[in-house]
Amino acid sequence: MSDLNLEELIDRHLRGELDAAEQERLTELIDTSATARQDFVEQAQWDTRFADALRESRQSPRDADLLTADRAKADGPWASKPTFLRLILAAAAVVIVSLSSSLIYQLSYPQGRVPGNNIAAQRAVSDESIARITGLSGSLIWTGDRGQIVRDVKIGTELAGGTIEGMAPDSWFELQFNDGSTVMISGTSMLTFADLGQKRLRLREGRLSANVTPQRVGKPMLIHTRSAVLEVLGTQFDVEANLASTMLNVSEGKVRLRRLSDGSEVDVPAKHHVTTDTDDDLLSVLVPDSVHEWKSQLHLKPENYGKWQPATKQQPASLKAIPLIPPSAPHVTLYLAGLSIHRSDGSPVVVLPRSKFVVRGRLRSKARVHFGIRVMYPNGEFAGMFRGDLHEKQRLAAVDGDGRFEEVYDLQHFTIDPAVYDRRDELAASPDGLILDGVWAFTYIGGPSGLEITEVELIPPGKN
Amino acid sequence: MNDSEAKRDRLLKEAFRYHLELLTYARSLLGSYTAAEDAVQEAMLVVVRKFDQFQEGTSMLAWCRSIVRLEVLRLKQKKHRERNLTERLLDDAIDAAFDEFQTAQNLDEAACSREALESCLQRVSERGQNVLKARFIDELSYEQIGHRIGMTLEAVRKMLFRVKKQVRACVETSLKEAL
Repeated sequence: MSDLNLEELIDRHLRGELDAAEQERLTELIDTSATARQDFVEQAQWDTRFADALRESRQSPRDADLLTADRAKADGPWASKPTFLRLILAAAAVVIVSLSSSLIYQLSYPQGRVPGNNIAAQRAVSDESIARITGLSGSLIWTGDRGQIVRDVKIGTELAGGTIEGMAPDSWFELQFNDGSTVMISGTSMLTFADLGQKRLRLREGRLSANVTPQRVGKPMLIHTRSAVLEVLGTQFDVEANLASTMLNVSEGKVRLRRLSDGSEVDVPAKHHVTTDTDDDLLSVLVPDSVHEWKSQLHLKPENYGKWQPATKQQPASLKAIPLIPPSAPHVTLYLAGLSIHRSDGSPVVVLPRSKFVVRGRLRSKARVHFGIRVMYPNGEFAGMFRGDLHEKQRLAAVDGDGRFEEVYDLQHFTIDPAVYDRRDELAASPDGLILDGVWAFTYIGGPSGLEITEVELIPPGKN
Repeated sequence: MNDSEAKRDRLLKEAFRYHLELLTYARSLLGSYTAAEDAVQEAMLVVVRKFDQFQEGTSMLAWCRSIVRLEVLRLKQKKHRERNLTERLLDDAIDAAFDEFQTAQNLDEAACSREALESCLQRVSERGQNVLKARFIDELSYEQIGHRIGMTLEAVRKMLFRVKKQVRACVETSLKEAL
């Protein structure tokens, strides 16, 4: 096999394009030739440097064209040699692509070791606050640019960028950028954010909603997920991302979504939604009318917090509660399972007054099954969290001989979750008429209770 | 700052220097830049948590690579990707290759190399840049690139290899001139 063939094999291997026969051929080459091994490592290193450098200037095709044209006007194609400061600024701009990218910059240039003389200015840029925390609750971890991990984040904290991770279904976090744009994550989510002239966010998983003020021309807010890039000029929307797909709902304005797998783009107008999880062309469709009933479909393995267990001949699929230590009570260990609400057709699930929630599952020990919900406004903004077990002292769940239980929680008895009680004036007073975003159940008996959820159901009034 | 904190800072600085090397390694095992980023990001969080398990005097790059490898396996499991024997053998061969040949650039080399690369990339024709971006950023196949840009599959393949070769030669020349 010629060097060109090896080069092509490596190129395609780095993008997961080899079939089994080609993989075998590559293995054989690497196994039998030290030169091939060395070539592999060197080419992989080069390829990654290429990708890293190109991704740094990542823009939509339209922006890339504008950028190219602007550069040509200003410098000509050969005269544009970047200064080191520009290079570093560019490097800093990709903080969103990976927290570690930021960390490498921040940590690899200790004072006195940086080539060039612009590092002081660059540090100032990098350290400058770009946003502040305007709301939070539940278990959260913030990892700053310099790698410090902070669990004790507070409202009002000024941030220069970093990664915020919601650790539990009852976690939420609201961030306000200096221009007034707000973003919020809820549930188990992970978001990295930066603003060095252009807001760049990376939603690794979970749900994000945003209210974005008009952005500078040519500098839209960019939101990267694993499967798409969203380009936001100024609008309200919410987006949910997981390993395989991205779902976008736009409430106001317009958002451009580009699917990474094939480069296709679609402009999503107000009251429309789109998902990347299709082999067909991207198509934005009108958000369907809301529904008032909902049933979890655990056999489909929805986004969740807990240990998912597939169905067996004897048992339906279930979600087993896992330990959670609330940040406000580190001596307490809850056993909690939670679910995000998602309907495949994108229709919002609106909670009507006098609705009921039914939680079905299994318990190994006697326990009270506590239950909470998270709701949002129609524009995707966080509206509050409510508990169905605090109106009166929750009774021990009644279980049958196999440990199965069914608990009912009337919406009229739901009260504000203590986790957001200090923000009760800003949030909704009740979940009536709001969109269901997440549900969770937990036990607290000083140890594991064997809690497993097999189904959660929202039943509208008047329906048994 | 006490001794433990000083040690932690020193080790973490060293670990984070290897970001690109670790990304390369993860990418070689995962076949996806984006997935590799995730694996390295997770691995870095493990490094932050377990820095005190690093044995002084051993290779930090190798230690970080072993953490990345675990994250890669975890990611593959999470994606329900059952590795067949062919994949396992290839992964093992790649792992051995990295053990044998991967070295890290020092800071000055990395900065110069990066600057040269940026500069050389700007010299590529607009059409060449479009092909590079489609391949490296959007990770499109030759066929998809051809469809997007209006070129035959063979033309895409040739242009891609020619442009990469030109840029690499340009970078190497620039670095030699800088010495």
